[in-house]
Amino acid sequence: MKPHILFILLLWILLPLLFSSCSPTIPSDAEESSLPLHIYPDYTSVTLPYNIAPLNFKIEHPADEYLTVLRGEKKGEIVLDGKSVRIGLRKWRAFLAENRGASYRVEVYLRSGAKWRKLIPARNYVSDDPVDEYLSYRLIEPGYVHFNKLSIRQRNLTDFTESDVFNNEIYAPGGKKACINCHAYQNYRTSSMQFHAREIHGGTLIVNNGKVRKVNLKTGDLISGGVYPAWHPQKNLIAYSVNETGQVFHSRDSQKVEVQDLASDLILYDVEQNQVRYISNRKDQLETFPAWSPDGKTLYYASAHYVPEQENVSMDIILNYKKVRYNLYKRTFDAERQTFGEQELVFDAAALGKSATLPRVSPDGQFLLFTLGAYGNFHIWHKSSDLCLMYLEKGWVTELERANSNDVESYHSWSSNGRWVVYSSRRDDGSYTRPYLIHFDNEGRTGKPFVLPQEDPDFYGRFLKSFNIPEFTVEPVATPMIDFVSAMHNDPVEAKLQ
Amino acid sequence: MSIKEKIPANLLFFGFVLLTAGGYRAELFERLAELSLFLPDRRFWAEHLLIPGDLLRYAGAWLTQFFYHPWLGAALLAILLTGIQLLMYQAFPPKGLFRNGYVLSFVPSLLLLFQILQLDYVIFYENRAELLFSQPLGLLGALGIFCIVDRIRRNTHRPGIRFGVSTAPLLLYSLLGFYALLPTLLLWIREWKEPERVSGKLQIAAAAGMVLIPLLFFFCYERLSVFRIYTAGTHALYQFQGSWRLWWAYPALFGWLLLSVALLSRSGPIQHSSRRSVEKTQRHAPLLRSLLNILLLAVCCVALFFGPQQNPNFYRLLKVQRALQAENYDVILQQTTVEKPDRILWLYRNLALWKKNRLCEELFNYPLDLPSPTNTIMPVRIIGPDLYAHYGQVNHAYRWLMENSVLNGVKAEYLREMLKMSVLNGESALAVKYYNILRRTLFYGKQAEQYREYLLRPERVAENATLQSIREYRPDKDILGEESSYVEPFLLRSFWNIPDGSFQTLELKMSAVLLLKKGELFREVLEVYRKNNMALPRYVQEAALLFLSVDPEFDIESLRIAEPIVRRYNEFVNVMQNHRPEEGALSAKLRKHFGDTYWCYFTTVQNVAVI
Repeated sequence: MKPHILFILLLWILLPLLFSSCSPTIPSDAEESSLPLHIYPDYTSVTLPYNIAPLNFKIEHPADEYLTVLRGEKKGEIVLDGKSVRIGLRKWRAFLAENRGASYRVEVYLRSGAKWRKLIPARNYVSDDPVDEYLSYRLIEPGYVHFNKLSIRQRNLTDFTESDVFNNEIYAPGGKKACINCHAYQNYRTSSMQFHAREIHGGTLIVNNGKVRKVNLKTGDLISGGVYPAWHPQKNLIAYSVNETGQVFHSRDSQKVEVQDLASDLILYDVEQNQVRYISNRKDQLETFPAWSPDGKTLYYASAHYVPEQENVSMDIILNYKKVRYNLYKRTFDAERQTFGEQELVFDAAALGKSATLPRVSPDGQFLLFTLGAYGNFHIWHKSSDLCLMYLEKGWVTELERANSNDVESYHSWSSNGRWVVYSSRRDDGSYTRPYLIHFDNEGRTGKPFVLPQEDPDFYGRFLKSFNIPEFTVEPVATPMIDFVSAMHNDPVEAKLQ
Repeated sequence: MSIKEKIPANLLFFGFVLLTAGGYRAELFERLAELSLFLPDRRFWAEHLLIPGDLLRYAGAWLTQFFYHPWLGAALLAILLTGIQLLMYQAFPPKGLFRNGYVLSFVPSLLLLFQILQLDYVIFYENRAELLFSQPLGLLGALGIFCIVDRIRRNTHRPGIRFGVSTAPLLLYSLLGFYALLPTLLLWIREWKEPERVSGKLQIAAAAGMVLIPLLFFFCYERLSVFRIYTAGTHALYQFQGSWRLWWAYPALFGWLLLSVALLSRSGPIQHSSRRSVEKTQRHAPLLRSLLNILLLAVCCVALFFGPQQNPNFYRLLKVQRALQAENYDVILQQTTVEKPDRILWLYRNLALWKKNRLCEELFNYPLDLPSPTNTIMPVRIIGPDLYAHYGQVNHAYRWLMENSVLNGVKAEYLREMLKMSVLNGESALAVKYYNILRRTLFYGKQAEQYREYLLRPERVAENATLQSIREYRPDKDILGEESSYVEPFLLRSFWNIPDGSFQTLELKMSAVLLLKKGELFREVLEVYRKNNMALPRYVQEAALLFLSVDPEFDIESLRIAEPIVRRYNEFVNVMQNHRPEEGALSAKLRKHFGDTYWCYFTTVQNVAVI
């Protein structure tokens, strides 16, 4: 064999060996420190699904050199150096698979000068419960009136890949962009889904049977087109709220903004028949945020009793904004006849001096998760808002203490297996909403929440958009963007009010 | 032309750009740098790969930050524009009647510079800072590619290779967008003019490539608008707001390139043999040529500098806002004391007067009924953050900074101000976020550092006179529902909610009474002056005469109004009472003789809170 070929062959064999043996060495003489571990994001003592993307983090201690060891309770070890800890995807998956149902330790070693110290390790728990593979959300600034570049994104939770479901730059005639919002899916599947576009070529884009159609839901005497959607788990029916919404600003309160409904009702849209009918449109009630039970036999929603004291409703509600409090209600639903029962009170938040919104029933039908704040319904702007849980059978209500913080907790979704909840939190800085995941067992106990992992540990410090309406799906959106573009370009189909 | 003939013109042009951008119009370029942002991280890089041509925006943002030091930014701009000119001459050497027209190669650079110098208030509404370097870079790239490819093409006789080489720039569409299509188009036109051009089929194929390749890329990019496939990397015309003069130079530039390749230039670079033969026969021509080109270029530069409609008040505004940052109220007063101010300058003037405790002494000593400047579709976006912050409306200042961030993208200026507002609002975690981002910039990190202390120890905000003075004027109680899209009415209403106490507070309240003509509230505020034995400013005295002199329950004498004011008031009343219609409009007469009085304002001004 010619020498140079032999040399190349040897190089090809030896180089991988050389690099693979270059992993850092764990210092054996490290002094045990009494310092607890501080990392960002806080991935300590969390419960994570075995199929989640790597929990990359950075170490928040000053040092000359860093070493991190992830040590599995059952098996395996990952050793990494550097202040910014980025775990390889393959290694991570293998590691979690080996320690499924168990835990692993996070050991961090710091070198200052010649001495190594080992911080108090943290322990994370690898749940046997998988999380749904996809999460979709809208990216939007925590702004006020104006909008610009918006996108509905979907993220693969098992790695870091992310792509647009739709964005408002791809179809912007004359540079004018539509506001896109309120993406929703039927039963975690994306073959039936919808979102709204407004301002430019507006309408509701509904995907059904592989086709995209734009519908104008503002019909008859409805106060608006459909707003907050809830797709029936089995039928091609979508419950919507219709809302007349206003936004006003605080002059001093650091919450800055108050979003209020001046009027709101509930409607039911039959996707196949293209027909709309009222579920409830009481003049003395502000009904909103519909949500179906998993069996589709009950519709939950929030409603506030409100009768304006003066003729100028807008002024009245501004003056009395702290008195507007929402309770949770339900109505039974007969899917065959498409009829609703009478309104029944589920949770009287107003009696407690609170306001409850966003009811969401767990997939096993046992629990009702909702957001509780001091008043109003747009809790993303209320620092007082927290997640609460109702045990449906017994009617107990408890605050999810582990999920909550001193800042906003709001918009929550269950995973398809009911073992994970994703929710919006502004705990990081009080302004930019981040998606947090929390484990939920069948007895209503939660783990410690953790923020959606990103490839760059510094991502959230740097990112200047909020994650809005996080929703789990079990599959990616298959509808190509060009189909949405095409539908947007067309005139909407006018829904008929029954 | 020889290099010796060209150098003077190039030096003239280079010097002109340097002086203009680094000197006379430095405020504009400095401000454009602040209305830009470059972050040396992977995220920023990834955000600039979303559509074809975004690389130009990335490189443009990197270069724009150097205008933090105006001379440095100006030097970079001058190098870039000179490079464009040199490539223009290389790519399109003039022919025929224009063969001595070296100055023609300056046209694109002059157009680009012209476009920049036209900028006014529009910089607050659009991402114009992005154009500063990105478009010249794009053009430089396009011309560079054209020159290289043209040289290869000319040395190849095989039609297939000529075709391949001419369409190769299309492969750079991903990086340069439109500026990859441009050289292909120009080469296509040039090829068409060649006596031995490639076959019609290959020409059609080249044209098809120009149409289809971008279309293919459309399916690879999630953010590429269907309407921008062929103009990606440029600033779309519909993105320009305001008058035509703010955008016409771009299509003109494109037209000039087409004209150059089609008619004005000959194919290929200048041959050395022909240059020598020209020199032999025209010994005196080089000097004349050089002088002529310099003269023409000088005329263009002068025309560029003085010719275009430029609103001097815009540049005054830039200086005023810079002075406000430095709390130099004397400079603000100096810049706003002009013959034809506008309403925006007036508002800054009032702020400066207030800070110097002279608001109610000099408030109406200024032209009345000032208009909002043209090209200001939403003045609150320009002046809202500044004025709201200084009058204690921290929430509203933050709101408009966020609105601007949403509409224009995050900029160094917005980050700095949002950091400041977050510190004032006690939102430490949010302030830290903005601080950390701003620190990553090359030059604006220093501005962030001045707030570091307050992030670590928020209680020390009280020790900073500027920050504390803003805090003092924050509303003492929370009010929900005030709309702050219109600056004047919002501020004037807000003055009522400032906690009482100091002379400065009183000045604000009284100014609101006077400006809004709230005679029924005048006495209430006047009593505060009297109770505290404060000297009555001029316009309070004038207003007292107007509102109280006919009130039988009020002893006007007790105010001891200055005699000249009383005299003048009597004259005013006399004119009012004895005016005859045939003398013309009363308001014109009053403004002529009493234009600096409150009585004239009260009587003749209808729109009291305009922007």
